[in-house]
Amino acid sequence: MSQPAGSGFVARETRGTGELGVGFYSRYLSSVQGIGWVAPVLLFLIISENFFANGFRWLVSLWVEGCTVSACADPRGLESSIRRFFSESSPQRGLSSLMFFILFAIVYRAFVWTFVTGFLARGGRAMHDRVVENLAQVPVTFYDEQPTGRIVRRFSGDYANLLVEIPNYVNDIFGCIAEILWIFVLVGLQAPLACFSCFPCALVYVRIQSQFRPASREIQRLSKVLETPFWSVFTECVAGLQTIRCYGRVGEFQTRLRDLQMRYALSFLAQNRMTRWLNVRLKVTSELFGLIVTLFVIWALAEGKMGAGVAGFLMSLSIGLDGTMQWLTRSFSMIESTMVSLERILEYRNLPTERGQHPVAASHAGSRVEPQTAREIAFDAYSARYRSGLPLVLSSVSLTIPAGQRVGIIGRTGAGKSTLFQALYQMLDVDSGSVRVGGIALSEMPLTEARRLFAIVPQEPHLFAGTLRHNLDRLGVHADDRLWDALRAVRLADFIKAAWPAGLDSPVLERGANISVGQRQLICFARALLLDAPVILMDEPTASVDPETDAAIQIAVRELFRGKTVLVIAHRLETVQDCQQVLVMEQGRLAARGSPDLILPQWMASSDAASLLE
Amino acid sequence: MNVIRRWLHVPESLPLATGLWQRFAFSDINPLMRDLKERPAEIEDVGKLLWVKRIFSDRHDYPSAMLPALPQLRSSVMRFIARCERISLWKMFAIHMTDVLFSIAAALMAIQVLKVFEDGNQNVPVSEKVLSGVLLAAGVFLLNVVSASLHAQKIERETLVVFRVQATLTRWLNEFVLNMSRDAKARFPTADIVNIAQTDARHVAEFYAHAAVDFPVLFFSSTLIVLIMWSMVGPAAFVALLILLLQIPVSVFFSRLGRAFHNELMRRSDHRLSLVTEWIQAARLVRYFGWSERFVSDISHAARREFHQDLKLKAHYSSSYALSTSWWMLVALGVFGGFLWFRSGHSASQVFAAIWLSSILGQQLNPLPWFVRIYSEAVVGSERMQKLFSQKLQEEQFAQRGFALPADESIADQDIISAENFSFELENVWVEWPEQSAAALRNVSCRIPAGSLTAIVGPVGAGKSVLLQTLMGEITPSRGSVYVLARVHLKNGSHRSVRWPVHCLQALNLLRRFQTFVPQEAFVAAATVRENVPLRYLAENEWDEKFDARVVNALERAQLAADVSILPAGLSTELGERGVNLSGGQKQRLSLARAEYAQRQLVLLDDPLSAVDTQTEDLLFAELLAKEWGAPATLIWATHRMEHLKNAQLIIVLDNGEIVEQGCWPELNRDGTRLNKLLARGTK
Repeated sequence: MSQPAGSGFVARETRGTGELGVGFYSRYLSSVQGIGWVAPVLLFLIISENFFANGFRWLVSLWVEGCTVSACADPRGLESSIRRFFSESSPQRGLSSLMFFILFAIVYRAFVWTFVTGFLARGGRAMHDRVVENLAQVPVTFYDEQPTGRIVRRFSGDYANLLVEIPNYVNDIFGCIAEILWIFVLVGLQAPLACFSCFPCALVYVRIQSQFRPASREIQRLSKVLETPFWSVFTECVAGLQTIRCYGRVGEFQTRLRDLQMRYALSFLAQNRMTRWLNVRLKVTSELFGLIVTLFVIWALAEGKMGAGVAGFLMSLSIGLDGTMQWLTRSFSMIESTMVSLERILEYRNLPTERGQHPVAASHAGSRVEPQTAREIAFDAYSARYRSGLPLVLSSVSLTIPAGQRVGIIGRTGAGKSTLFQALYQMLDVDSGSVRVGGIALSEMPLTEARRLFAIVPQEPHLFAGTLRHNLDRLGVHADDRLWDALRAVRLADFIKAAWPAGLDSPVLERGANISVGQRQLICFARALLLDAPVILMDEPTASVDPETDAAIQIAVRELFRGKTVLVIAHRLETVQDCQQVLVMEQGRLAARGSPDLILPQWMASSDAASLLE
Repeated sequence: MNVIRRWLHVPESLPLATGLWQRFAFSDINPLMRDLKERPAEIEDVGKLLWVKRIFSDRHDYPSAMLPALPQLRSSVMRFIARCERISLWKMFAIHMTDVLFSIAAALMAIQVLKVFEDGNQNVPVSEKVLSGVLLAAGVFLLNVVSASLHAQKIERETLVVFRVQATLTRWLNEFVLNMSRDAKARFPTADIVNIAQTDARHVAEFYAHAAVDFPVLFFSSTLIVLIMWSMVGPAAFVALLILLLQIPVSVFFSRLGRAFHNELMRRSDHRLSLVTEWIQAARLVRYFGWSERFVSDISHAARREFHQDLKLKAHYSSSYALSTSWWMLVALGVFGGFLWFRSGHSASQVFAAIWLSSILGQQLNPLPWFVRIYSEAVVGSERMQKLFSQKLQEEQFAQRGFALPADESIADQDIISAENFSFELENVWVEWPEQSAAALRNVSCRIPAGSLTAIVGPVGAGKSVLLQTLMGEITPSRGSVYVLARVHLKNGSHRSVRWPVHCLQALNLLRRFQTFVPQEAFVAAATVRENVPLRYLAENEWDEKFDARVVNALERAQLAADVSILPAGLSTELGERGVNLSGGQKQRLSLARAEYAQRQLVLLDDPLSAVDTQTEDLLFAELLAKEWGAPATLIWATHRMEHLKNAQLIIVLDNGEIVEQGCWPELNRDGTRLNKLLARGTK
């Protein structure tokens, strides 16, 4: 079960394991747009915002004492001027100034948090857009190496981290540090001697932290690893219900779920126990700080060196201190666990692009391609591979397809039939040779223009979630009449009018789940029709349609595609029989070509006829 | 307990209990934490934690299985959980109450320290003051530490309850869904069911773990604190209470607003995500059609809209947190105002008593709006689960539609060793969906012969899949009856011919043991190839060369062996969600390999040929008909291939849910038959 998914075929996901240092924060912050001049502002806002909670207790202590115990002698000192203000003003005025202080604190805090997290989130969104643009230009083979789920996770979990979690953690970390610093400063101001209590506590805190974080990181990783399989089995039980039931495997899957749950529970509860371990120790640390301060206060009170107000203030400093420390530790370990998200997104921002592979020659860059007219296609000693480093999938293929011809392509699985289509769409890593359409090498045309020469009906009838219109014409360039014409051509119009009252705006579920496989195939046909490209590529398009419908479509297609070049990957002999030319692919090479009358008997004799069909 | 021991290989000699000090200081985890500084965590590590094992043995009152619990689950999930968890809940209440009392006592002692040194005590000698001050300070320290440990222990129990409630509900939900009737399942998309298990079950669990205990504790402790404050600072205490209570409507308002913001955010981020998913799933297609730029601009537009909503939410959360974290200041200020209003004098100890006690009270009351929220979420979650649990199980639907096996025909499942010679009889079968006006099958009557091929043909949407699934008992007819006939071999060496209605539990079990089904869209489990073919999860030592040989053999016959051999880890390659993505054809061949492996006497194929080459199909077909597996298997095949139709003993032509023609090839291969029209013969 736990065998790793190897290297070669599917690229392994990068996983960060090490501890994160200053490097991480600098990498994060430097990738946030416009951080340069804002950074000092952010720092100032965070530090000033954290003064208010303890500042309030401090003010109260001054308010209680007034000028009674300590002298208000120093005319310029801040503290004595506040004391004087409180003792000179009426109680109402004193209270209302405290009130203003609180209200300001609330508004200021709300503003600072919104500003800091909002600014960082804005940086996250900018990264998101860059990643999307980059993925649109990445060589398409990238998608074969990465499971879809993995790419989508970058946009769900990882992006959510970047948008919400990381800004919050950064804000919390700086906020907690600022708050602890303020406690140091206030204790230092009020009772410089009590400052000594801070150091041992700080040491203990750092020690506890350094023991907790690595262990917690490990156990958290384990919990994550153990939790995901549970949900994937749960989901597939629901999705694969039919198969599981039919083979009588309900019990098998239930046992599996229970086992996975058990494993997860063990690490989840252990992880929780570690957090509790931390809670208790941090509470003891903060109480220790409180105890030392209290003892100091008792001494100062006994000596008459301190008023009861300031004494109470100092003793109250440990209220919530453990909470702050705990939050700081938590934020540290949480940001560690989200670090991977940032790394993954940064990785996707810097992928090599397709355009890099296909430099557009300057002379042809501006030339417009007229898509409608049919043109000759010529492969000239064309060799290519899926990715550099992999073996050739097409080797020195040379052939010419005159404009307007209907060409059948046959061969065994993996012989390179679909790869020919990939070559036309320039989705391969070209080794040597070229493909010319109408005399111009494809690689010298702008990529989007070159791709516009072709329309494809792919093997798997894929539909997008949205509406029917959406599926036929995503760019919204066609009038309704044209869409209906296309639907009529594939014999779907009547069905849709009868069964779907919303017509073109009828909903299509994800992957077309609400439409039968045959009908999905027909919609894909209509989609290709609408592209109105000079070259039509079809990959066993009518496999899941009954012969009656198939025959009707064949007739319609022949009519609609008259005058266009049509390349069909054939899976039935009938399909190939009326082609002008048949190509036989074998291990990435063109093994034979010619008219069907010539090729087919030869082919049937040379190998098992059935193996022509994939 | 013994299950855990066995599973974790814990020897009987190891105690499964922790010492008192370990329980107090959570120190049993120390060695593990030290170890984890050096190396990654393994599942064995957590298995060694005695406490973790102990907590599993914690008492609860859950029934042993889902079925006995079902009536209670259907009436109220909330009440059911309360009944099962009541022991834990009482324990948590006791611990939590104690820890709150301890922390109140600590605060009182801290105030006492200030009081000792106040002006009123001038005649007491300083040394005595210092002594009592130091003693009090030590007391404060100890009380707080004990309270912290108690609190941690209570939270630990909370975690256990969260886990246990969610795990149990999730498992039962899964079991329920796996036994649910087909049309009930159609009402709940996969995503909804997963969501109910992930979110709703968690909400119920969280309510019981947190709010159900904390709320009564909060009530008692707040009353106590207000009384203490009253005794210490006089009537000003009630001003504090008033301001504290004022926080409740404010937070309720904020959380309502927040929920609206949040829902909108979810909507927008779902929209962005579904765009991204579509775009990535069809990466090639999008480029074929030149839709890339459109997708990119749609996605970044969606991201911008999501971000704007997120900003609103951030402003909202910031304001609401700023208010709630600063509220204690307002409370304290209220007390000071109270002093002024009631013209009572205020000493430093009173002022700080106000601050201390109101911050404890604040801590208690802070989660109140959250309690309200999780209560309402739990109620909603519980209702959604009830709705799912109230659906019909397959067996319930059978009973409701009057399908049952006569008692005297029943044979215990374990008495049946094997079965063969499967055939079916359908009498006036109708399948109607409540949501659709047109029937999926209309008045279908036929006999499907044993030991030969029956082909089902018909245009797209004619009801071929529905017919197959009705035969398997997956779909329950609304009218008419379906019988399965078979010869079963019994344990005692005898054999019997049975004629059972398909739609009863016993027949269903019989079919599931001896049938093979290849659906139109293949199912791939997130497991290795080795596990996917037999559809069994394997432990480390559960397979050997012989086992592998059988799997490879099945793969070979399904023409998938070559594909598997180039996979990174061969048979051990993980497939599915987190592993290698197979192509459509490969998935379909995997599905066929599964059928090959199973070697069953009844084979149902739902047109899997669309992505499979004919060579494989012919091979499989030859094997099935060549009786390689012993007695001739009964084959029911939705197919269009003429070669198979010629071999079929029976061809059933469906159109619009009706049998329009049935017979063998020579009978139907005439001009003007629906079959010939369907096969489009003569059009070319």
